[in-house]
Amino acid sequence: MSEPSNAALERERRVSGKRRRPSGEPPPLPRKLGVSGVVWIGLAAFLFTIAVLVVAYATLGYSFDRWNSLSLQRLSAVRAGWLDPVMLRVDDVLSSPWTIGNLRLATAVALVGFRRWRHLIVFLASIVIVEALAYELAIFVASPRPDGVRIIGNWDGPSFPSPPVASLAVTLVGIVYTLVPSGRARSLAKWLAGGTLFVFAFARLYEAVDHPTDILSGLILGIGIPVIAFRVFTPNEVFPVTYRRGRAAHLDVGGRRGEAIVTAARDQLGLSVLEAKPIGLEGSGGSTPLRLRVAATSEAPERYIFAKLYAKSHVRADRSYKLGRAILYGALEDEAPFQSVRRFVEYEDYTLLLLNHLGLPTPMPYGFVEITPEREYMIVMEFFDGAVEIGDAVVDDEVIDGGLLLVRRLWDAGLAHRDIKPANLMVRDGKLLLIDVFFVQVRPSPWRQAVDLANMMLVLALRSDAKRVYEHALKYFTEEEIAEAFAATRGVASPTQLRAALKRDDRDLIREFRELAPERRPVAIQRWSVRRFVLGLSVLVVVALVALLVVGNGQVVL
Amino acid sequence: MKRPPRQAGVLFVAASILLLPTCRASSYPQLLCDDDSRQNILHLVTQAVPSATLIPCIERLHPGWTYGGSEVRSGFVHFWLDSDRVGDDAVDLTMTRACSVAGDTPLPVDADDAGLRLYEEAIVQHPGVTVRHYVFTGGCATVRYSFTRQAAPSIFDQAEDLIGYNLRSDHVRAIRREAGLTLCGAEAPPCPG
Repeated sequence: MSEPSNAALERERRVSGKRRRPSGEPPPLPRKLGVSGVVWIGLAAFLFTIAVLVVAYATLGYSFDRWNSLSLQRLSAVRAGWLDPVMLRVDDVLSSPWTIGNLRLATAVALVGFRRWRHLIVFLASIVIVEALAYELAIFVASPRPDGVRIIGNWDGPSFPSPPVASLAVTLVGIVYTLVPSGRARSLAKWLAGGTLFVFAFARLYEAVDHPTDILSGLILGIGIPVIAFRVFTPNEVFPVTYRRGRAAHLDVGGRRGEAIVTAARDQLGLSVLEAKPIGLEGSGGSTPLRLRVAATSEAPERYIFAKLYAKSHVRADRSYKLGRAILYGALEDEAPFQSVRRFVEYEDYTLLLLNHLGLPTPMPYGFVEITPEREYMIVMEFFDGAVEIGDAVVDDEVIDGGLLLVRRLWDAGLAHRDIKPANLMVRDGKLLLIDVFFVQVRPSPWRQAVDLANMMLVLALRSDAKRVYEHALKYFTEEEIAEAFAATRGVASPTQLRAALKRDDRDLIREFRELAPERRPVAIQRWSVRRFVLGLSVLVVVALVALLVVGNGQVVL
Repeated sequence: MKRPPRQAGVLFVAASILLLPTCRASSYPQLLCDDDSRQNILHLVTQAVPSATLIPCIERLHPGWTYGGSEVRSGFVHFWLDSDRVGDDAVDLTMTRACSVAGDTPLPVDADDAGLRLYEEAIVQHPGVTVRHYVFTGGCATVRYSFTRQAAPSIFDQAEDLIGYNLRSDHVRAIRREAGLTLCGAEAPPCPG
């Protein structure tokens, strides 16, 4: 075979639209801290440096004190009898633990209500960090209250950085970033929060309870830390604040991410995406499934393809899911969790290729694209246009045979699908198709393979009957193998969707299959191992430590 | 893929954190009687009760005594000492602008403590506990001993020596000399505003 010429390669690239991203060029969806984020980091570093210098060189601290004192003396000239109670009231209300505590509580309740867990965790972590830093810095610097001017308000403890200002700021910023959607509404909310903080700061300066530098440092801590935290851990492009219905695991595919999907598919796979639409969200919590409409080319008409968007949050969810299962059932989940989203998507790409290589009726893989390096990838595959879920299809003998033969071929290839349920079995033109191969395992345990068979037979029987499916199964499996399958299948062995469907059905299909098959002792699900024991114990220790830390913080931090 | 429920854990952590602003304990440096105007905590105490002409402070601690903690806020100064023999919060001092000594028994004070008037509350009011008021111009320090002289005479003698008083005027002068700042309140010129 002759090597293609450079000109031919170049022509192919032009035709396909593929393009290699040169070094230094940002990825389709770059991770940005934003100018203001960088500014806040700089200000926080500046604040910390000043605090250290003030402690190390008393004369520098005195210079600040004199400047602060002079500023407050000038401000005290505007004090008026009628204004004093107003300013005192403003300070009392906005610095009160009752006000701040209730604002935080209401925000937390709202975030729980909207199931916005990630925002809630970042909000709480920001509060802990800001409160702890404000307190520790106050103790470290132990700055007195203003001198040379009469203090007319109430105060508590050292003044630098102003703890009430930091507390109110982190609370308001948290509300803005967790409850208000990005755009005009958030801009307005920022102005409102800024205005409130300005009035509060003015009141404290008017009363001379804080120095100007105390207020400034309180604002740097109380605004800077949550802004950076929300930008890093809940970037709007990835975790937008919206009030549309949807599962938390699903990512927004509009805006910058939508544009990034189009760019990535064009540059990396040569696919011209006309539309990206979420699809089948209710059946998937581990990724964001999409249907992409792709423009016609000289070789193919306009068509749909299927894609799944994976982010780091999915990897974390997978990790905690497997940890929980390993602790609850021991050897039920006989595998290690994925360590990165790249490995996650690479594995699914591999299983798709493997099943296609074996000629199994699964979607043809197109590869995967990088949206944000090491954070977000999208795997692309064939879309079974015109196929219907088996729960809505006619299940005839051909479909039953197709399903049973599929499991037989998986067994023969040394594979297990591990997620056989109605949502993953499609029927088109009387042929059974298998989707979602993410859980496929090569060289699984015999128990896993047995469960696949039982789950397939149950899904088929839901739309037909147990006796018919059993008789067809005898063409591909021995009676002992079927008996093993139903001895292994209990409770958690079946996917949730299948269990729910079985519960809705009037018949007891599992019992019917067991009666048809030879008697066999149930296969135990609970497996004890050193790993399970160590994992369980470790989780208990960590939970106890966290509880102690939280209780300890309540006593020490504040 | 199904995610394990984590609402309970998150709610527990959330509730703990939300309670933070209502909790206040302190680990400020201890208020020593050593003549060191750079002690910011001393400066803060003079600001807390600006009318007070004396500032209560901690003398050198005897073995077995440790500094417990302190709270300083406008109009209120509070610190306490722990003992390995009579327990935590063995000596607890609170300074305010004024206190009521009606019905209390006046006690003599040392010649060194000019300007101080000492009163002790009747023991029947607080069985097993000794409560004393040190009254001076512009302030009152209430010291609560968690034991009585009768119960632990040697420890009581030690405890009495743990608390001292500095002159506010000394601190006012030191701040003016070293920092060029004018403290407001007693022993100082009037402040603007």
